[in-house]
Amino acid sequence: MHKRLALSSAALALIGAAVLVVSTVASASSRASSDTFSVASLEPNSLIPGKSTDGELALAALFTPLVGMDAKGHLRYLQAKSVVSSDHAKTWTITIRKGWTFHNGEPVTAQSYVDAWNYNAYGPHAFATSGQLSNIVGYAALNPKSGKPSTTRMSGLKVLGRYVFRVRLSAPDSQFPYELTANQWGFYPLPKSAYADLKAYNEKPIGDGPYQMNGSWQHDQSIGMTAYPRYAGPDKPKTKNLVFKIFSSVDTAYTDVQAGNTDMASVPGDKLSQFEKDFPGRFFSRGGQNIEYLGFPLFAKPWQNKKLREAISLAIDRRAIDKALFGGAYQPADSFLPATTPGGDPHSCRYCRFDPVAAKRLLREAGGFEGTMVVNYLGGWGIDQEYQAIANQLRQNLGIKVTAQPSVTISAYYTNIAKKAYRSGPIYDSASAPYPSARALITQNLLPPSSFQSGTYYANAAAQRLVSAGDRASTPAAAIRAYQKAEALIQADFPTIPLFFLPSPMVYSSRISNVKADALTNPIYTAVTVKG
Amino acid sequence: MAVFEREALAPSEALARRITIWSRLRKRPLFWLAFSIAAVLVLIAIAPGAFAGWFGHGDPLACDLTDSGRGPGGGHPFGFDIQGCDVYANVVYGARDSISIGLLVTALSLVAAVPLGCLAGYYGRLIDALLSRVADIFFGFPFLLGAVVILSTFRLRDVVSVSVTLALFIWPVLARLMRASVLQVKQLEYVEAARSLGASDARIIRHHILPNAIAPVIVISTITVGSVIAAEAALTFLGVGLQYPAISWGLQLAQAQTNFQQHPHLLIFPGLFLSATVFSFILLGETLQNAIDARA
Amino acid sequence: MGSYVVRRLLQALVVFVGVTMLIYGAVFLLPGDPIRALSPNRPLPPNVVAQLRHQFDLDAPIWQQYLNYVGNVVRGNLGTDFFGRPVLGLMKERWPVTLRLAATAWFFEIVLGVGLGVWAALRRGRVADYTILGAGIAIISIPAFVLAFTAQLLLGVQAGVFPVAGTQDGWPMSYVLPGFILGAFGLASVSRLVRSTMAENLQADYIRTAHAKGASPARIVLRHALRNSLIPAVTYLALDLGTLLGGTVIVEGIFNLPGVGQLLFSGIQQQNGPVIVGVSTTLVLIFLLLNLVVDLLYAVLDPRIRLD
Repeated sequence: MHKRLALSSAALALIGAAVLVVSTVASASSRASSDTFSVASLEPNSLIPGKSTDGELALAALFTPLVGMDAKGHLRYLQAKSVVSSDHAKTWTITIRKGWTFHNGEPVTAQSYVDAWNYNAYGPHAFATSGQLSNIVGYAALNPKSGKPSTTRMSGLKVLGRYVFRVRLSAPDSQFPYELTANQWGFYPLPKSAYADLKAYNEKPIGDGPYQMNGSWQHDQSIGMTAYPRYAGPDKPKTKNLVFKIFSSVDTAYTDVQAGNTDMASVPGDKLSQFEKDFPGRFFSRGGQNIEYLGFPLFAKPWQNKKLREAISLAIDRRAIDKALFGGAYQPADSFLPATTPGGDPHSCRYCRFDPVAAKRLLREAGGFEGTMVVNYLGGWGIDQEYQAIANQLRQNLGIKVTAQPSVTISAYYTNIAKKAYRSGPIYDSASAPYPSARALITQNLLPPSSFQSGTYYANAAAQRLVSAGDRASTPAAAIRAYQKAEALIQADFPTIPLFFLPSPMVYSSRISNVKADALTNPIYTAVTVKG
Repeated sequence: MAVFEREALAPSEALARRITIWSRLRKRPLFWLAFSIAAVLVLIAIAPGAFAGWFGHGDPLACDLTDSGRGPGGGHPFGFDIQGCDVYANVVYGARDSISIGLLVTALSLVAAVPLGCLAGYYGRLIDALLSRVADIFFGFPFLLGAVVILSTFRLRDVVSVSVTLALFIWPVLARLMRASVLQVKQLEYVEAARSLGASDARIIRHHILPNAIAPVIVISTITVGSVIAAEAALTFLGVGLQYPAISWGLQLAQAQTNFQQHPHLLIFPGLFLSATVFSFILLGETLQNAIDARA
Repeated sequence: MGSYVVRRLLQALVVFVGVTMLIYGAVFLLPGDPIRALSPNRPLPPNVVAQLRHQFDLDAPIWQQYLNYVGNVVRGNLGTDFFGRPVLGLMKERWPVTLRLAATAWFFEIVLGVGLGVWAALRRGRVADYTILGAGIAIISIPAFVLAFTAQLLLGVQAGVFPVAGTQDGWPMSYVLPGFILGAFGLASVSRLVRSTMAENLQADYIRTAHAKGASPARIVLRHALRNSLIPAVTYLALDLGTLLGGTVIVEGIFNLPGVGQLLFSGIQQQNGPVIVGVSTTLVLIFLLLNLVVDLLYAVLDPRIRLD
């Protein structure tokens, strides 16, 4: 009996020991020093710019785009020296600056861009940013309906000199220079070494930006970078090392900055009402062109009734929701496009104010509402409180039955939209302009084919024609006028309710200072300084 | 003679057992404490409307954002949540879904676990192997992640679908315990005695094995009620439990944790009710077990 | 004994195949299109979506996908996630984290759980007993995520005793707090289980006999009562190791430990077949092995139970 007990204890101990032995890969300890600051990030799905869909924080340090934007919304050439159009915005000639090198020393040339763009657009690669290049002549040949493409290059791209190349577009595009800005990774250049072994490149990406990789990407742990000494851009890094600490939860990242272990993190949605208290004076807004809409399933009854749609918009007290849930960090939307967008038209929305009396009157004029309205929104996205609040307000201000129902999963939400399964009430929708232009939000959200993805299935041929007119315009001002006219037409139809502009704030530790974001939402890492 | 004795003795023996258990339980204040807390909570769960209006604001959906996050005050003893809804009314209404899930899951699990565990432990061999393997298939997957996978496939996540999912993963735990307990009891002298007297298997299981083997299962079951209520909260936190517009303590806690530094009352009140529920069920099992175990 | 082990292993194999097929089936029951959900903020163009569906075999019928998957597994290829990272590599990277976490939690369960259980049984009906009972219930009654966030805030952010998140401080520092919270539930259960069986055994006849024979109290507790109380606890502990390994998802998320829990959870969220099946298969294997170990331990601990 004694033996048996000893034996079984030994067995237990053995299992325990085995578990410990298997897991005794010691992890190195790293402590912050005065020449290093850290930024919290989620694990990016890729650091190959053309392939990534969420690598913005790291890519902004590794790469410098052709074109940037200043605080006033004017274009500022960075890697590009000039971007000039001819042929009514159908042909563009891009001249890049001399003397720039990739982190491996290879010069950045026109060929670096042309090769990368061809690679990104090549259909079988299935790169996420491929769509950004779809207006270039020859894109279709790289993306045949079926089978393998017969070529690997777009005929619209031509290298004219070591630092000059020409881009021919299928349709005129007055906004093309705006599309070459920081968040359009499909237009980033790649060094030659990238193509030889793309997997290796992903582990240690080589860009032309202010910071270079310091060792390989430690998946789910960190991405270490150090200042690139031969960086040719205007703003040299003030702090030598930059580490992206990878978190699986944005809330944990926020808490880690609170504890002073990490230096910078985005504010998760559920901390918006408290971050100003948690980080007094240590936060900044990334600004940007994010907007949240509440779209209507216009293919179903009774949502074709415009008065009903307007009544719903008037019954939502955006300011109260903003104050209670987001601590005033959101901006109640008062137009279809954010004011920060070039061509944005503030205060243009007539039905975005809160007016429960007018809302009730419009509801009566619309013939009332029968049954239960179901506000459908994306589940697991941290927006439950906002949509429960909207449902509460609609219920109380319109005197009708309203519930807000999250989708079971994120993918179920999109599948339901594709199947037109959301038809008993308005649908959550959010859009962010990938490049700073009114056109981006209009075509990438409000009009087809994007409106099929937002669930409204709205179409407006006249507005579409005005957008095309803007694309052909010869001056920026003329383009903006055309886009604004298109926006006015859409507003008159009121297919969707603008809810909020989302400025996405970030917080930072007391170790670092001079922290802010550029006009394209990216933190300016090069300006950051670390205290003693 | 022997036959007569057997028929007459066994029922009275079991009856006497039950009577002594009850007379012991009756004298324990802890039992009454646990019982009354549990009874009140179950009453609240059955008829929340009767309790919610005590302070004059009984509608959990009557919310005003201007009250968002306000602490306890007149007419609102628990304060307001982020939506500006009365927390007391919401906690009262939350009892229904939370307690329903706890009881339903445990009941479903016991219905499967007790008979199967008994059979496996008593007969051993083929039945044991077969039942154990069936249990293994459900048991072969970690509870939380298994629940996530299954719950993700449901089009609607309500009390019943969440309960069935949780029960799928909990019954093997209880079945194994039951089996282990039966294995021990089976060896006891009086079981051998009953067998040698020619009692049928069904009779031995019902009268000798089951009453003696069930104690540890009851203890764990009471924990299960509580842990299931907590598990619902955990699943909700992961985004695969109950969904809005349902009202449950899990949803309230999952929401409260995001800003409990500013609004501790949002965490405290649903948390207190949840803890009281768990506490009462465990204590109930504990006192019950003491009463069963105590040898004369 | 040998033939018993062989038979059990064969049974385990059957269960294993059954479970993995169930899991694979469940992955395809998940509603929605995983590719569309890959990039909620930046919708992928339709041609890219079609291309990706083809790349990940999602345009084939389910049975074909399963056969392709099994074929690849046989050739040693466990597939990749939707971003091209091999599942095998992901698991190699993440299993050590989860193993360390679960081992830490298990350590707390064994040492504190059994220790407190014995203590409570010896002090039955006294303050210590009730305190341990109360503390155990308190821990059980608080959902793990509430406990984790509170501990993180109080001990991590405000007191600075433990790291808030991440594995930078290595084992044990980075794992103590999450490990304790992961093990808290089991700890309370173990202590209650040990207490209740031990208390029962302390009143058994053979203990009285031992007392009567004049055996020392320590000897009685250790040699007689504890040994006979260990069977349920050992069962629970062995099986609970599997539960711990599979139950890390919340703690890993809150403390930012990149383990398999988070990997599997994000795999489920992204509906990535190879990741879900790969990770859960390893988990199932561990569960089955632990089950086998438990059954063998029974035999070792309690000679009255014969294996065949």
